[in-house]
Amino acid sequence: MMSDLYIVLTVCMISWLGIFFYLLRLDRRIARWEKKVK
Amino acid sequence: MLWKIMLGIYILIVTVAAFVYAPGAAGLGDLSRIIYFHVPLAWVGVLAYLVSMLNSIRYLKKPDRDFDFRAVFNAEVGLVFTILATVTGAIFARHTWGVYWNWDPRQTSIFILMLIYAAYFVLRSSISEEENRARLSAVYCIFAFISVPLLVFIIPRLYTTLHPDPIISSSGLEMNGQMLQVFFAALLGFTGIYAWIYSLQIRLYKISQRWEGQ
Repeated sequence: MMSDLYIVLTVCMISWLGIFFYLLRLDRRIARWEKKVK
Repeated sequence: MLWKIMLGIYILIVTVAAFVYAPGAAGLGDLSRIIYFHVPLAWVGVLAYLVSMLNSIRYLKKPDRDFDFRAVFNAEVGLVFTILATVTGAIFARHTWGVYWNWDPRQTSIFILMLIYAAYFVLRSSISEEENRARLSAVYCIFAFISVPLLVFIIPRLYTTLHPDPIISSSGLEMNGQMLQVFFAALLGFTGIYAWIYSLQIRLYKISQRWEGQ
């Protein structure tokens, strides 16, 4: 069904955004640690 | 940082395209859209196992802790992505075959592959001496990778399976233009995610090395 498809699409997009912002935050944190260690 | 933000937007576009732009495959309908996630996950798994094996060879040539770390990290990534590919495959199986798991040749071979790589970590945890652990696990990793093409590409094709090979069969890719565009875009996007995770882990490793040195 069309509405089911959009529900799955929304779940996939939210999941990716969650993973993406987690990786982005981790990236920034690692960049801070790199500055500290230098 | 810019390429990472671009990657985030790119994956979002690919996700929308997988559901809106690409048509469903004949006979499978909307269920076929899972291949835009399932196959790239499996691809990254195989890629990570390959990089792990290459780093194991490099370690045996020149015993450097850095190569050992890269081999272990890639084996971890490979295992995680293989598990995710198995989960997405099981979701597909539930909706087409009626059960999540029925020991289909494809499912059995991927299960054996996961056991082989799980054994790699068991082997590592059972050896306390660092150099021995790195050398033995490098040898094991090379042999483990030999099983990857056998278990992923060859053995499942020797037996009758419920897995929908007609989409990606030995005769080539049987998808229309729009499906192919999204499929290759998804492969590229997932490879980008792998590259990002790999770079994060390498940077973390270098920080830990510097901390140890201080």
